Amino acid sequence: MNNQSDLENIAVGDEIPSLEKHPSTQQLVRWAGVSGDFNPIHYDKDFAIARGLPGVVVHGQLSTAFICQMLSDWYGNEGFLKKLNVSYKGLNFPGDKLICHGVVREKIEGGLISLDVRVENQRGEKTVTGTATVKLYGGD
Amino acid sequence: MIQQLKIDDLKGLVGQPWLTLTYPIEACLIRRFVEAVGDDTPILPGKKAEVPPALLLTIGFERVISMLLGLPEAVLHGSTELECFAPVRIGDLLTVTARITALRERAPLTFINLELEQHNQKSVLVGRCKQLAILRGKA
Repeated sequence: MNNQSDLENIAVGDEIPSLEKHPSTQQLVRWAGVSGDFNPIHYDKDFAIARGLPGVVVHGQLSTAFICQMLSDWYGNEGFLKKLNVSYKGLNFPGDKLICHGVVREKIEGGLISLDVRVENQRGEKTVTGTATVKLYGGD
Repeated sequence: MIQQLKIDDLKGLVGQPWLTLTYPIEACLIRRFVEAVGDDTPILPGKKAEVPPALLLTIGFERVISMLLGLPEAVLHGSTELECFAPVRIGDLLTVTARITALRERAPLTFINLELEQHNQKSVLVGRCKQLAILRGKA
């Protein structure tokens, strides 16, 4: 993404470059530290199991941050995120291979691009789904 | 000292400002943030020197989640909505106002809608983050 011609070439249905992530338990600890989300289900296996979970789970907000990374990798310095709305449909676990996807859903006047976004695990399960709206500077 | 709450305490807070907090946006915070995400190519420091938008997911959230974790119920995350209205830059001072906008009980679950608004030092609204927390008690 770097200029007006890129904006003009974006079409509904286009897929933006996906982003693959491999969250580890260390990454969950790092995220807990920076986000302040010290919910034990994210670092204490026994606690998580006692609460009916299979084990420690990835923070939903970390998965959302992965989607934001995918989007910012795409628009770079030529735009910014205006809105992101996601639902957590399934659990992600340390060791999973998570792939973030984004598909252009609508082009809106003024350089706004609406996208469907999702996170899929290695089994193809959609664990996070939602929509994003990005403003591209070339659309002014 | 974190105040310990019960769900009944939260019911009385619906619609009212719950927490007001301030956060200086410092370079070390941003470095720790991008490291935590595992972002090897953050656009920071781009020509506009804006912090990653996902940072707004975390600003203020730590106090809210800490309060909810004081409840005996398990806390799960249902959804997140983030709106970005203006850039946030290193050196900004953000003031966050958190409120509970709705609370619904459907045993053994309780659904809590939270809204956090973030203003910068010029009183400009820079972000709004809505969260759905799901509390799961014993059936």
